[in-house]
Amino acid sequence: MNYFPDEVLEYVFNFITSHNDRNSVSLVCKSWYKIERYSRQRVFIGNCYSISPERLIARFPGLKSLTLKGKPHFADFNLVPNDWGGFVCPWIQALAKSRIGLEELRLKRMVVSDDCLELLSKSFLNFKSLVLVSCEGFTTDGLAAIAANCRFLRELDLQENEVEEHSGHWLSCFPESCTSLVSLNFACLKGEINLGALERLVARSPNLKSLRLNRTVPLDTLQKLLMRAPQLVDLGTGSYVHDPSSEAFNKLESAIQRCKSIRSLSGFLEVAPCCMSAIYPICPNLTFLNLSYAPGLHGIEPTKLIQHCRKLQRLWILDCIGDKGLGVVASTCKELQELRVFPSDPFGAGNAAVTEEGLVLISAGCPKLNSLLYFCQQMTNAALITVAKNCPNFIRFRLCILDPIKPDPLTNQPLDEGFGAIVQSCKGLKRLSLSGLLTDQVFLYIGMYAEQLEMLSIAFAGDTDKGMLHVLNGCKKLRKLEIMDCPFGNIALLEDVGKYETMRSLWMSSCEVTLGGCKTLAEKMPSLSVEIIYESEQMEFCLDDRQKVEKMYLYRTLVGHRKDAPEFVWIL
Amino acid sequence: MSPPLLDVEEEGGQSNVTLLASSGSMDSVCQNSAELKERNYMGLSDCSSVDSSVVSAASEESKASLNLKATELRLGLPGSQSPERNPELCLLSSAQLDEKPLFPLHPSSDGHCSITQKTIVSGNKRGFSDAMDGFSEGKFLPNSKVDVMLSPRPSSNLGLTSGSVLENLGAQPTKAKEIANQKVVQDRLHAANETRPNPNASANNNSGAPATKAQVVGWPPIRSFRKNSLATTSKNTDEVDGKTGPGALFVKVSMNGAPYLRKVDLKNYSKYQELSSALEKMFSCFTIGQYGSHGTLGRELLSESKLKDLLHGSEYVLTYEDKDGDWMLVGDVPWEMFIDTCKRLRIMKSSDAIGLAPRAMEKCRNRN
Repeated sequence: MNYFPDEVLEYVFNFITSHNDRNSVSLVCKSWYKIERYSRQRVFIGNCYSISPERLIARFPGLKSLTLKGKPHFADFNLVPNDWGGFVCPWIQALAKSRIGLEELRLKRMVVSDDCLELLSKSFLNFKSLVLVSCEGFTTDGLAAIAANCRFLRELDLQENEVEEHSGHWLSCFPESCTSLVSLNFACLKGEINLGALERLVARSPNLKSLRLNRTVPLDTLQKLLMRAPQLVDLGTGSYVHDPSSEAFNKLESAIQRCKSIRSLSGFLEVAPCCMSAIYPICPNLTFLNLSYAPGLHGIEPTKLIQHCRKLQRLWILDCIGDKGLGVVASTCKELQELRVFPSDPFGAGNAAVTEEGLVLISAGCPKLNSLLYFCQQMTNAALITVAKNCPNFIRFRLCILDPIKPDPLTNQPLDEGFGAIVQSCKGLKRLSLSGLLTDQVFLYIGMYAEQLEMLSIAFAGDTDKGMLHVLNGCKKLRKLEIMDCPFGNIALLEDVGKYETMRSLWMSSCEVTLGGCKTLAEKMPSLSVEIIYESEQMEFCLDDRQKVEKMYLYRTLVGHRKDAPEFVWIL
Repeated sequence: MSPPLLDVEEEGGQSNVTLLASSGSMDSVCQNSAELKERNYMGLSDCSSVDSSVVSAASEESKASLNLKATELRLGLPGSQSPERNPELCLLSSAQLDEKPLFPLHPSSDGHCSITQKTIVSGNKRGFSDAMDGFSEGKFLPNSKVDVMLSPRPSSNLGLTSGSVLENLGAQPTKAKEIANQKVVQDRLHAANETRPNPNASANNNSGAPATKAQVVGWPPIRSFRKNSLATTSKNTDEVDGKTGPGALFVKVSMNGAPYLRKVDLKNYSKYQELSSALEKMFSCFTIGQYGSHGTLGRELLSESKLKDLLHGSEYVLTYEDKDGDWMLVGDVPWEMFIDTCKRLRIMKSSDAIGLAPRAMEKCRNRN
């Protein structure tokens, strides 16, 4: 393999950007490993406890961009207690001590403190991009540090974080010299910011392409911002409420019309439907529309808007659009690739909303559909079979029937056949979430057909251990398996313990696995970390091996048991 | 021909009856048990009416079911064996346990069934009801009453074998499974119907209003950020009067001398004590005065208006403005009535609140 000098190989490797490909390249031989590692700039770590910051730094001295994920996915749904872990501080501290010139940090489900945000802002001269998704533990003071100290900041993107808000002053901390902003998203913050400071910031950011405001930014400010930044590509409105006959509204209309580059639109956390007409002129250019935080748009309003969006590729809406509304989507948005339908009333009595009919209409009208998240009241096997036929290109298929064990209402059968059709037809399926009444049969299908499946989420499904075994044996590419409330126990857990080393993680809660089973697994597989998460009442029961384990989370790791586990986590 | 599954929306599960091939007495047991089942998932307050009906039904049923238990196969709740297994469970739960007939078993299979029954019963599937119970214990029911249905673990270690046992049963394993599944579905749906999730977290139901509305933690799988955001948004749009958004009932809370208003969602609480603690945390310097114990009010009113807070001489009291625009003391009326009529809350000094009590009493009397 030494036909080329290292520099040539390095040059070639620069064209290889996907993490998987890079990982493969590094396995070819020692010299490729070495060249790859020195030239690697972007690293993705799907589980922050699988490796240590020191080893990361040692291997990739040229690191510029780091992506870290912390808590297990089900933490999003309150299944993981606070303080479980996922602290980013050790990473930032280690990186700060090293010579790494970090430029980008992307975190998901991690605990971030103000101190480490401040450390981050002061340690890396060229720091450009901070993306926080579903994180917590920081306040607006931390944001102020980032704004004040990162001289070349390009991106500050806050998505769905739990931020303790002390004041809106943070936005005013961007110095006058900061003119490099490309992307600013503070939609998840609830507090007011200095509107004048925001206007000035936007005015001096000629490269600004993405701006997502929070609900406290009123419509007349939006108008001023748009006047300053007609080059925007991605806009998230704040409060979108005004008197349509007013001067401010007229100004907004003209401002929007100048924004010919907007391709992505979101926000509308507060919205007056009568103001939506101002948006219509940019609709024909939109490729992404997110109305999922706009319950104020009901009835036919969303539909009226969508009718103008013929080029839409991604649509996120609330289920109050109804099956009929989805029919309009199907006939309008022929380019649609991704659809997410969220419940507007997750715990309600189940009026309105969407059913299998809407999904069938979509599948018939949008053959390019490859990614679905669909919360609905019911689903039928027939519908799923039709969808599978119409859309064989699904990569992500997440179906959530709000009543979690609901059978097919037409036939009263489980939904095994429907999901079976999906996995059989969609040969490229990588992510699947199941719901409804399901038996072991669906897992048999998944094991047989879902060859590319990487992530599977199951709740209230299956009859016996065989179900889980079908999946573990059949899905060779499985990386993440998360199970809640299923009758899978030790037999399934222990049948093939080596499998878990090929996966990133396994989550099982409210299943039948016992403490003894978990202990056995931990003994056999020292390269796994098997965590038992206790609710406080169960501490007294914890010594009996026959005791069922409420929550188990296991993951492969190269660095042994983590040292930062709280009291209620027991690592076997 | 598998028996028709009941219409999943129907509460009461009358078609329990159709799944049992045996006797008429079995049918009646089932009907009773179906009703029983309904009640069991209600908030188990100190409403003795509920208790007594369950008790009587239980005793009646246990007589009838002595022989029938042996033929019953249950994919049941955790802890749902015979009472002697879990002596600490109260009668309520044991009554509930007995009434889950699942398999229409031929008499010849009785032998099988009695052996298998226990293993199955220990919870092959952790059904929706289990999940809700299990979760509600830890999370939504600080009130210990519903704990009786839970004790999630001691019994369930047999759950492992139950699956295979099911397969060994009878000559038609697939059909049996189908039936079992349907029955489990039915059970779970009963649980689901009866415990249809409340818009808001707390699951207690002092006044015996229909269905303990517990939420299963982790279901539906929506990020809490999104859930909270929807609640906030609807609150803002439905504005001042505390009009109900999707299941929320926000009212403004003001306090003399406090620099800001707060809003609370009354649906998050099921009794005055919870509201009191929440407001206490928010404003941290007041307590609800003890105005609860009016002897003339009915029994259930008394129990609801008993506030934990015993500081009679507290400096502040909690008052509310009702639909008529009158300011009343919080704690005088049943909780349900209170959240119906409360438009706004105000924390005022006790000295300012003099004279409110008599009006409140009068209004109560008029209402009753």
